[in-house]
Amino acid sequence: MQRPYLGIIALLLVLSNFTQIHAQDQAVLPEKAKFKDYKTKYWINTYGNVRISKRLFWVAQTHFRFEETKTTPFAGQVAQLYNRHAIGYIYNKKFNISLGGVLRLNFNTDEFSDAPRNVVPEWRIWHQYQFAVPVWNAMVYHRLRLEHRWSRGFSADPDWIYRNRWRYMFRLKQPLNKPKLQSKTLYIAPEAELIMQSGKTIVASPMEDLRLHTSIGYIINPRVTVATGIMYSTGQAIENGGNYKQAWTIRMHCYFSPDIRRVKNKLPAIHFRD
Amino acid sequence: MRLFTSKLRRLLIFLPSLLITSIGFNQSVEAYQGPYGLGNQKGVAKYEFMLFNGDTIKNGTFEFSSSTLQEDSQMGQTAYEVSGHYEGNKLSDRWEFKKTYLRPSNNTKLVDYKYVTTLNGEEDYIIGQFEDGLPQGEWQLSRYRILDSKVTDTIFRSIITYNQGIPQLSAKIYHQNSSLVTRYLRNGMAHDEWTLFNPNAIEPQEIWTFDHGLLKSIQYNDQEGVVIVPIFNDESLDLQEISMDQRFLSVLSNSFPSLDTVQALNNGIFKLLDIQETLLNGVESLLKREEQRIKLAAYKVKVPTYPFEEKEREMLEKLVSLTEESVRIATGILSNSQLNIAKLSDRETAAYFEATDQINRKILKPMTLMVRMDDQNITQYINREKLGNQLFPEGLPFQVFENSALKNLRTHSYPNLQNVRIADLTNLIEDAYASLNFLRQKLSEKASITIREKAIVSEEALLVRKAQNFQSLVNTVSTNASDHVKTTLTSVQEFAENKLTAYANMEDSENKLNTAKALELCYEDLTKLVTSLGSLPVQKKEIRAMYTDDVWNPFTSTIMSENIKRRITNAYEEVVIPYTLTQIQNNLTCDNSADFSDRFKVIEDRMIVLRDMKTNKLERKLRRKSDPEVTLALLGLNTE
Repeated sequence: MQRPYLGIIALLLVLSNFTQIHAQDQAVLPEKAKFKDYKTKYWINTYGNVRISKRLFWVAQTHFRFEETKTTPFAGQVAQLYNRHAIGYIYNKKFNISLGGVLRLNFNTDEFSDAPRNVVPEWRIWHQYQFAVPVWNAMVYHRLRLEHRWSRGFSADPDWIYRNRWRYMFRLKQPLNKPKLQSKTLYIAPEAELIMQSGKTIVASPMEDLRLHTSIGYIINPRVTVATGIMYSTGQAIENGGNYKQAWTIRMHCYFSPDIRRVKNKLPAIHFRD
Repeated sequence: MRLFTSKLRRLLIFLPSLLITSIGFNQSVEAYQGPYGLGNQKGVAKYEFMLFNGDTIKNGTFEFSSSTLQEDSQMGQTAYEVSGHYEGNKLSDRWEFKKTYLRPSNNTKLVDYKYVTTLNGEEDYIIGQFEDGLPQGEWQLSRYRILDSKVTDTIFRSIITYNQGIPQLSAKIYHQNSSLVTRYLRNGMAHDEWTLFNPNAIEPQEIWTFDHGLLKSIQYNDQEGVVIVPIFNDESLDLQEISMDQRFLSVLSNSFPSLDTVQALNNGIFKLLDIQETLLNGVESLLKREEQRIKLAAYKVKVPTYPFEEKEREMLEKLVSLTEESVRIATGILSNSQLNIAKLSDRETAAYFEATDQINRKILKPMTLMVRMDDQNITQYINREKLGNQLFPEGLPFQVFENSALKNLRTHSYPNLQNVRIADLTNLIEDAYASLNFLRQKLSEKASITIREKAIVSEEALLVRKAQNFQSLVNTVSTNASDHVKTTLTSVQEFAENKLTAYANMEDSENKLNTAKALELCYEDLTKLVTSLGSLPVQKKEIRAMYTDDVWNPFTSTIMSENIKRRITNAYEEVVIPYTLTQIQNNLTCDNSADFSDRFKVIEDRMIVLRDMKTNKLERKLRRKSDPEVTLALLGLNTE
């Protein structure tokens, strides 16, 4: 139990070093931080966790992200389509890891842009380490996610930009109407995620995004959960570390976890350490 | 005398040889092990004895045990264990007496499909020494309470010290929270103040004041303060010395001035002495057939006497014999199984039965006290002027005869509350006796009370017992049954009652005997059915648990229970069980009741099988709501 925490601490130390990097000469940093007007976004996320063996599961997530524009004030237009897949491994009830890839389609949402491409792919390799800690009748989760990311702009023949992302998320799931998280439980889940980035192109904006999200969820049964919430996020713009983006996002989540094993392989369902 | 001298002469002749052999003779101790009667108790004993001139001389250890289970287990069971020692046919050394009385408690639990009843009761334990056949040294008397089959506390404890059979100057008794110190004169006569203390209270709870054996007064506390009740205070009374035993306590309880005092004093010293006396008397009666009569309750008191005139004595004798006869008739009617069955259906029988019951409760029960006093030979110690009031505090119950059928049978007039004399009591019992004879005659027209075939009488007794068992099981089960099960139980109960009424209306005949036997079997089956119905909640719970899986939820990293095969469990709970219950309500007969009680087991077994079977197709079919019969068929539970 002790060791995974050491990992978190080490990672936080590393992250704190990035903030020491100072802006180089190209962009001129403003005297004071500039906060841009916030954008509104609308995300619909599906999360699949398909159990394929006693310890392995297949992570299949598809996200639809919309972003407001002048012509589509609230619901927005499609900004990103997200496909995240991985194979996960349940080490025990309190710790699991995943490794996989992402294909994200980025759409150009800039109305005034005359870039030739409207949509470009972005590739990632990602791995994740999640710890679950019961606290009274709630559960607390620490999620460390590392992503290696290749992206490019919408211009005619853009270069691939390679960046690393360092993500830590703290999340709590507190049951509201039941003594513990079980079927027919309504729960509230506050979460905070800090996303740092590094790479040659990252000069003065290591803090890519800070997401503060609270959702209300309902566990329909052990296999299906739905949730909705609102998220505030902010982060340094890549062109100039003195400029901070801001956004309010309405998020809808659907979690499903089918079990495609044969009945005889399912048992026992809980004893991971056998 | 001649026999003796000849014996002596022979003894003198053989003296030398006797001297030589006597040592060997004395040591030829034999042992007995087998059936034995100790007091009125039949049991098994093991003891050592010698034969001396053909007589059995008990010498050595003695052990006895007995256990009597009443025919009806509801009545409880009494067991005795005695161990001690004899020396030359005389009680000696340490003796232990244990009496355990246990009866089933109301605490019945369902364990593994069985109704398990714990036992409540009491255990009396007495230990003491004898020397040369007389109580000697310290005797300890204890009574323990047994609740739910466990010894929970000591209700009573008393220590008496004897010297050559005579209790010594003072003794102590402990009872729950209080302790009593008693005092005696050298000759065992109660004397001075007997005080009952409660360690938590400042004032003594109760004080009995004796003057050379005569109980002058009792002082006790109630809400208003100290109350002093004079007991035997009249100087002019003739006094008589008696033992401080059950007789004295009876005299005393019949001499308390009012019902209030009786209630106030019921739990004080009186109760303590009563328990002590019961314990001592228990030992005395166990030993009464042994070689010596042992008197353990050897304390003495004095009581006033009220001698009888010849005429009064005659009236009392008449009263006692008429009461005894009346009790016989009333008990005969009230315990008659045929009448007990008949009164369920016939109104007139019920009315006569009720009148008998009234006479029994309101007249015969108090009169029986009088009979008991006579039995104990204490009537001469009771102040007869107060007797009427004592037995009938609310006046003579002659209203019992206002019952229209009994109206003309009353031949005497009765005084009001005061001035009830022995003569009035005798009049009352005469009228009661006449009424009972009338009732007996009327009822014998309804059913042959007098001589019936023994076979049918004993068969009916069995039937009544089975019906009662059935009834009490129905009551137990319906306390925590669901509404649907409750209505089912009611209909099963009605079915049983109808059968019983039909039986009661039958003429006595060979056929009736067979019907009684068949009905008993029916009751057995119905009892089984009720037991099955009683285990339904447990069955439901177990099936629910069986159809629940533990599932890993990766999004919460917790294990959650999931109901599986919901359509099957829903069909079980919402169709199969309700349908079966309705079937019982509508179609129950004596013949199919056993099938119905097995049915629940069959259903459970099937549910167990379906749990691990591949049932996708079945579950799809169950989705279409349809006739219960079809659902049953799909689940493989066809009744055909």
